[in-house]
Amino acid sequence: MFRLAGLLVTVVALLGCEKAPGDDEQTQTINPNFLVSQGKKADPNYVLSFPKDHLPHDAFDIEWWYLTANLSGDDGHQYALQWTLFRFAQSSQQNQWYQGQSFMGHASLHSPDQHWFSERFAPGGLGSAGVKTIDNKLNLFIDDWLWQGKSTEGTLFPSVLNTKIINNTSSMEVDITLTQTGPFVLQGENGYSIKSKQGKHASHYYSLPFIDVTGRLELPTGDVEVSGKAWFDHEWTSTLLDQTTLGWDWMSLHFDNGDKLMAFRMRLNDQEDYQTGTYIFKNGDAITLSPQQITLTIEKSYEVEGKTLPLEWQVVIPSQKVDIKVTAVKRNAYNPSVFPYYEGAVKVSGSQTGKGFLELTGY
Amino acid sequence: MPRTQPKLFEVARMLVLSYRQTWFSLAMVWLSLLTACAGLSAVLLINQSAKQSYSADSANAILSARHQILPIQDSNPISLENYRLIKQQGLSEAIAISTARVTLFADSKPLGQRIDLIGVDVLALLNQVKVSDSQADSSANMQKAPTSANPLQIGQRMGFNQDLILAHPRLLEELSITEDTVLSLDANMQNRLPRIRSAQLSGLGNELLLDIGVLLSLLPSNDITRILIPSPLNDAQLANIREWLPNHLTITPIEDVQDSAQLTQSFHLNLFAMALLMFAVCLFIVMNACNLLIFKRFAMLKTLRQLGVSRRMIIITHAAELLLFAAVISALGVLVGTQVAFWVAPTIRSILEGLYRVQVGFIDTQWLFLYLKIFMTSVAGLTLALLLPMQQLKQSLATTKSAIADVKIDAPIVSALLFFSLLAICLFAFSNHLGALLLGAAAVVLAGSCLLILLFPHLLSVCYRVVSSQYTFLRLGLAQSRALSQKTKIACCAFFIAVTSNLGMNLMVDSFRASTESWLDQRLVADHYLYSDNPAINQQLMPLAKQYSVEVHPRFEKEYEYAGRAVQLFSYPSAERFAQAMVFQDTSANAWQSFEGGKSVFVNQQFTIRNALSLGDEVDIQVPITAKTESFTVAGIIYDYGNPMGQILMPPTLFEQNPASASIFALLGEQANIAAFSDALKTLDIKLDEQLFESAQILSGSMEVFDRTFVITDGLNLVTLLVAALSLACTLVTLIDQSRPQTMLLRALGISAWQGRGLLLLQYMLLCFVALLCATPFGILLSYILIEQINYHAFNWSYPLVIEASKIMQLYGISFMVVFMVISAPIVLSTRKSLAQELTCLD
Amino acid sequence: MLRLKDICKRYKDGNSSFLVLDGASLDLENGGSISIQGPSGCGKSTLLHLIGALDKPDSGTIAFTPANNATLDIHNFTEHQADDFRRKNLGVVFQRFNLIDCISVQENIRLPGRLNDNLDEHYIASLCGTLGISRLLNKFPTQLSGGEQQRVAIARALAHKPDLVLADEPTGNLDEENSNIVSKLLFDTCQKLNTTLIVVTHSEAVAKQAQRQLVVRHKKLADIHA
Repeated sequence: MFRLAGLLVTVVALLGCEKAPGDDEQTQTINPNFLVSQGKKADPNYVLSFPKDHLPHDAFDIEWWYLTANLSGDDGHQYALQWTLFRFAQSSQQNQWYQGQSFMGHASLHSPDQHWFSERFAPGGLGSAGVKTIDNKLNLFIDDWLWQGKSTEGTLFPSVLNTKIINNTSSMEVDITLTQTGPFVLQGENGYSIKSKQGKHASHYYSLPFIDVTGRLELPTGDVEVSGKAWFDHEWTSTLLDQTTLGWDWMSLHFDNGDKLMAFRMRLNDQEDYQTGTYIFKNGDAITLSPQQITLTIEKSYEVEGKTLPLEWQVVIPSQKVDIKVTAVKRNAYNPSVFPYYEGAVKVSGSQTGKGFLELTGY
Repeated sequence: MPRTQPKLFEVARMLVLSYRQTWFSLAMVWLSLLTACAGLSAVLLINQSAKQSYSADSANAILSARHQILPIQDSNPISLENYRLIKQQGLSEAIAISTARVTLFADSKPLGQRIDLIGVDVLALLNQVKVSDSQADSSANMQKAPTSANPLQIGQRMGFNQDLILAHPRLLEELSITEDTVLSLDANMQNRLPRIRSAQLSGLGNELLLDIGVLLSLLPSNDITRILIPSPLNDAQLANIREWLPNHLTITPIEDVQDSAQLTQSFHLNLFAMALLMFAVCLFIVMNACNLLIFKRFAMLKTLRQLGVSRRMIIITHAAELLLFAAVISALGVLVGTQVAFWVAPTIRSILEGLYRVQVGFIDTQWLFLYLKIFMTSVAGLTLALLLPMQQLKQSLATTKSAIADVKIDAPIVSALLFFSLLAICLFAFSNHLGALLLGAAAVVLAGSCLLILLFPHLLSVCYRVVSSQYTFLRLGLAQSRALSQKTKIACCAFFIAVTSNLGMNLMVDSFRASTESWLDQRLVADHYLYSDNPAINQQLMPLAKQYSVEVHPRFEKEYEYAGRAVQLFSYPSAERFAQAMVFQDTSANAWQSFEGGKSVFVNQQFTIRNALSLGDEVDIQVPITAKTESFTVAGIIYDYGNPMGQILMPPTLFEQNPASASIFALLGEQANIAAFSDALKTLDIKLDEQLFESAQILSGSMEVFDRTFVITDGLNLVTLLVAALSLACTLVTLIDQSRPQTMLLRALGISAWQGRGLLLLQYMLLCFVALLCATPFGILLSYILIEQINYHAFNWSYPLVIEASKIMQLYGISFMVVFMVISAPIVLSTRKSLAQELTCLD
Repeated sequence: MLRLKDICKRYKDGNSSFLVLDGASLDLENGGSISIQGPSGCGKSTLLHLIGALDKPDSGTIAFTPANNATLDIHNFTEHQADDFRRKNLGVVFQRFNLIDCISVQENIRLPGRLNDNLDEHYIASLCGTLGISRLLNKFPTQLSGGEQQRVAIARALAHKPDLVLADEPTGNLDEENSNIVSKLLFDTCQKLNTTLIVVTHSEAVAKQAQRQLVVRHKKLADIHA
């Protein structure tokens, strides 16, 4: 599964403009020129292998390592954690400072009534951000944020993640251990994931939905011991964004029976929406769901930060007898990034119960 | 009130209808108010746009950081590894800056001025975007909004889009280039800069803003110059940072850096004081012009009174008229002032950048805010200036007299004189605060004005009695001047203030110049000086110099803090040649012996004043060579003009004899040997034209910069004198009318028209002469106050006051010339009618 | 001898002009005195101004021949010549604003003499005595009554021994008693000094004291009894 945080509509619309968007003092838009460059295309014949493919694929335009976790605290509260490292190719910046790459880090924690969000940016040549094997351990880092594999075989799990998240009024710290409890899942066809009907939009994409989390959240009110389930995605692409891309809706769900579901809807300008997903059994087997095999219906939308967001969904997968309602736990789960987007925990009810995450972009 | 409203309208209508007859005095009111508003606006804008910094620290003005990380020595700069470490320690908001001053080329031709390139870590800046955005939205931060919005603007343009270089539209205008112009670092146009984008960033001046990665790729030898930390850091956070920060780096609050650039403070103070002075003198003109206006309208106002219009209504209508003038002219003044500020900006910029290493940026003018400031100041000034004329008008309209009666003002003037004198004495005796001292200086000038008003007629009477009766015209002129002095007191006050200020400022600047020149001349003991802070090169200097029989005296330096404040700790040789070069304010007996023996030190004025030290006091200082603290006696206090820091001099033997720790070297030797040595220096990769200087060159260059710095003061002085003369001109036009019968009588007695004009001119020149005589001692006193009080307390150093009669005579000459030029025209114009026409006034 | 022949003078007032004098003529021997009467605006003062080289006629001639001196063509005077004439040969007494307020009475009287470099202190002292103003010499004009001011004005007009004195309504601002005193003094003193005197007046009593009484009639000068 892919994810890209950003006001893609505005960004894409501005790609064709001659003037830099900042000339209009009123728009608050960053104009990433990585969207203009065309890096290496995803190859349906490419065979993913690990731990090699945990590392960055610099030839591709965009890449992310994305972790979401639904946590229960010993204080009786539910917490939703997101940690993401993005890489952007900047082919025009082949200098020592960038070495053709830039990084962005997002960290978000929701408690029932608070939200902490931090964002980091770093040039590729500085060495303060990246995904590297150091002393045979896999490190994902940006500034003082570190997600480090414990194994000296270069694998990502088990691992520890330490991040301080600061918002305008307070800060908190995440210190968790992640343990793999199931196999990696290659999304699409052996990790080649198609995002549109005509197949123009495609990426390399794998997930690890089987992660147990234990650890501690250092909150302003005191430390909270947490545990729960996490979902990890790693995706890289060069053809995701073009002038037809409007946005997408994505959800990752942990069912209580041990199964998992990844479902998404790609919204395109000149085509009908493309819906697909992956049903993952608790033993790690996975079925790619075609648009005919999964239906995503918006049940209810709400006004959030001046936008109308679909926060209640019906997901139907007849072949798996799945007819569920996915409801956002918090209405306002906007990440106030320079590329703002919605990312928050959800509850699952209906034929299956469980919890997960919902991501909405392009609204 | 229905009966009042039509009357107000009617009275206002009558005033407007009278404009045709009173155009001259109206024009004087408008022009003088416009001059005042424009001058004040220009100065406010210039001062606002000037940023304090050391070289290339304009990044702070654009990005408003609280702290910065700097290398302790330029020879050990900030590396990429250092920056990475800072980021990895959690200072994600740190913004790396790299700067370079370059010559740019467009179409293979160099641009008219060197430009600063500021490379900014734009990605780090994106961390600031959300913070700035929220601040920009806050209406409470309206004043700060443009500055805090800069990261947002930069981020919008350059975030992930580094192929841009941002320039202020006014800079593009100044350089006569556009966004389509291609710029390069070389004349062959090979090393091209990214494409230009115009960006109205507050604080951006003679700089181009670009991504640091792009800058470092264009200029690979450049380093990270500084790292800005935008957010405030408390003591605990600072202490934590200092623990892990590499030893060769230091973190300092930005304010400390600003405090050090005191000379810029003097410049801004100077400008602001001159603007206020000009404003005050312009108000005098307004007052006189209003007097003239009232005089011209008086017959009409009398008729209105006869028709039943109340005095209150007449005063209210006049007040409304003046308020309207202020509203309109303030707006015009702001526009004119903005344009003036724009015109002089290049000059100001080059002065500040050349002398103070300060960058002057372009600002986004907040029109409404500036207009309101100027309007309120105008209203306040007009109210103050017109209290007396309005009072006089009110009284005059209460009587049936046809002439405006002089208000007896002696008693209040005496009270004012006593008040201002006491105020000045108290302020100077009990306050060190700069604002209070400036107020004291103003009080002295105002006390002088009061004294002038009181003594004017008496002084003229004395002159009249002293002059022999055989000098008919002169005595007649003096007699008429004496009669006029009652009516010209206020106008002559304006002239007095202008001359006093002129004299005070000129003597102060001349004394400063003379002191600086002689001090520099004496202190520059060597014929040549070499500047080099490269340790590797410095190590080779002395052996190389020996080959050419050239004496090299390094000035050893040590970074030092005394009483929590950074001070300069330098070596100074005690050889006779150097001993003779030292300029002392005060020394003890056997000072040099004690100094050479390592028992005492020489310190500068600034050090003694800040630490309340006197000659003979003991100070505990860490000896550079042993790093042990020992007690030294202050054996000499040296003059050190313009240095913002305290300075301690020790004999070279107390320093490590390591040329690597020196940055300045005095070269002594035969001219031929020096020349040969200079040639040899090229092999050490020393740029002779940037690093080796002759003393004469240093002296002439310094004095050139000095003169350029104060050229604006000279201009403002002249303008002030001019507006004072204009004030006299307004009064003159009124008085010529009133004294017409006397003038015509003299014409009837056979005095020719030109003799009559000459007599009128003589009267006013005599008034000016007496005002000049009165202003002279006050001007000298003002100069003394500026040097010994204001300069002393503001900057902790002073210099001797030098009074040159030629300078005073020069001012007399200029003043006479200005007054002559200004009052000649009204005199000639008013006496151009035929005698027969004029004689009707005698009927 | 003062000779006026066919003097014409026109004044402009905006777009129109009006003729004040049209062919006025006059002959007056040195030492003689005449009074000129006429209604307001008839041109009396204009005539005085023309004679006193304070203005120039549009046509006609004005010639003045002081005793033992060459004839002066006043109508042809340049400005410089006019100034010279007023300084050396002429004394003027106006209705008001005769004196300079900021100098003393003594200084006022001496002023013409100083301007001509022919100050005769004895003569002035005698003149002041004749006019009864010796005790007023150290006072200032604003300290004097109207009558006293006009007597000082007469002294000032005669102090430099002019050949011709012109008086324009010299008693216009005075009461009857002072008017009589001042006018008598003026005529007597001029006669004593053999100074030609021309007085413009509304007052019949003042006019009668002159040797000849003229009137401006139909823009010309005519004998009042004609």
